[in-house]
Amino acid sequence: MTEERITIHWDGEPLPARQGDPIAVALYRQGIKVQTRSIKYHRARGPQCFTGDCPGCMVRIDGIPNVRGCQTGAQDGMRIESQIGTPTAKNDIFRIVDRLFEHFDHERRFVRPRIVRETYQAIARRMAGFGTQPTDSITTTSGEQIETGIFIAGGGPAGLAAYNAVRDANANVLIADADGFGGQLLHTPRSVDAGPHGEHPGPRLAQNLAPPERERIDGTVVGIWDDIAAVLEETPDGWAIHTIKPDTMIIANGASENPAMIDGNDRPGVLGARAARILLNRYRTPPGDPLIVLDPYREGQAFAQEAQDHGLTVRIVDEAIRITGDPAVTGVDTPNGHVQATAVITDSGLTPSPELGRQAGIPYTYEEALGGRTPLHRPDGSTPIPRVLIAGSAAGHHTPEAAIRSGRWAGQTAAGTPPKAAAQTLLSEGRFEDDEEGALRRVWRTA
Amino acid sequence: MKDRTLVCPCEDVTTHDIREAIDLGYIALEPLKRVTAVTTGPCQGKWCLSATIALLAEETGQDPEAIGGITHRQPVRGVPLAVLAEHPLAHDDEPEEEDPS
Repeated sequence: MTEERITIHWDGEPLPARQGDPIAVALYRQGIKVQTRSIKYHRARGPQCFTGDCPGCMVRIDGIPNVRGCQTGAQDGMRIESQIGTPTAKNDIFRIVDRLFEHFDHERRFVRPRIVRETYQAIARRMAGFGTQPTDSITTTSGEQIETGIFIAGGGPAGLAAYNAVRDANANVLIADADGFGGQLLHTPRSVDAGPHGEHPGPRLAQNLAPPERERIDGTVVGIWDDIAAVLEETPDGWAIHTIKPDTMIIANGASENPAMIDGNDRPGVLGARAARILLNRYRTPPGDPLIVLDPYREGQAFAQEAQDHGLTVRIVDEAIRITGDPAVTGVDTPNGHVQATAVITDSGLTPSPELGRQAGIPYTYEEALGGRTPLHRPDGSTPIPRVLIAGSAAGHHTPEAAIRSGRWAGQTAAGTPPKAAAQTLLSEGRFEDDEEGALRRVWRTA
Repeated sequence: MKDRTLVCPCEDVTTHDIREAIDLGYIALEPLKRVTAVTTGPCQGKWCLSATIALLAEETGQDPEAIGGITHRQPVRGVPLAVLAEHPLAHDDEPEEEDPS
């Protein structure tokens, strides 16, 4: 990682940052956990996921509102402003709303008489909403219309393994990812057994599997329409939308983290376990010290170990009443008293990202052990939809080992060289828990 | 800050709001979404959909399989309109310019 020092400006104040670090990470490292406010109660908010799945990092950059700070690299001289909060997120005068209203039912309150409704609406329109009009414009450029043999949506372990399997079969391939190619490998420091690709620490493995420039798009798949995928890319000439028309599509767009249902779960400094691993392992930024890890499962346990390896004080709490702090986290109330911490890490598991799979028409079923809604698929990656395959965390194969194997099988199937004994290898080498194994077998049978 | 349990931080929807809507009879996902605004913020349900399904199942005793999901429309990430307007397909429906001669 580059250590080049740059200066960014946060609500007018100059701050040091590292070139290329996401803005949300750069702010967090400077102790700025309150990065925006919530839309209704004006509660203090900060990043909770570091994957673009939550609203806690949305800021205004150089006059453009609603930019995701966790997905945007810091550049020297960038002017970043908190976009909700008067005058700023830190000192927002409307934070009083959170204290005044126990519950604020905007559907049924302030409706009659008409004068009340009109006054309320005039005020509410000023207070609510995400950002204000842009004062600058972004540079755009015409996208490309591309036809390819196999298109892979997502460059985490599954997408990368699929890419390499397709390459081995000499098929025509294109892979898209906006976050540096590697997915969870980039925050997995432990050695990952990647079968024929060897056994390496996650970041090294991501490097080994990375696609060359001519076969990749550094952009996000933003939608699938029938047999066409749209990709949003920031090119050297500006932002562009490309449309890709492949013969076969492999969906490998990963999973989203779930919130923990506990009082105070939105306080700045409350992070999902995956978010905490991204911050600590990928961006070398401790989420806090001391830290509380609430009721850890797979990601939480991995994080607790990694945080201890970094010399941080980790307190495991299995039963919590509420997360405390105003505005940022100060700890957790438990039945046995208060436990103090500067960050609280929750672990409610990962849910396969359903957007692209559903847009491609794949039916979903509910399997709690795999994270809830799960796409119907077979061990070789195929789905009930012809020429649409799904792999990795997007299919409920959440460990890097499982994601790599399911990606590989999907790549081989797509390239016309179907794998042998796909189910057995996946189950014996995928590091699944027993309940996950049972759930997967049910999904495979139904498909 | 008040103690609140947020299901959907984008739209400030709390567990209280969901339970109240369920009490009013909104026990299917799509109507619940429309009355509480859950899953309709900038993250489009990425953070809150699973939690909403779990809470709905717990409160009503419905099978999560039967609750189903929401419609996931394109685009799945924020796309500036100026970028969409640049794509060649955006100009497909425009009439050909008439030859003045």
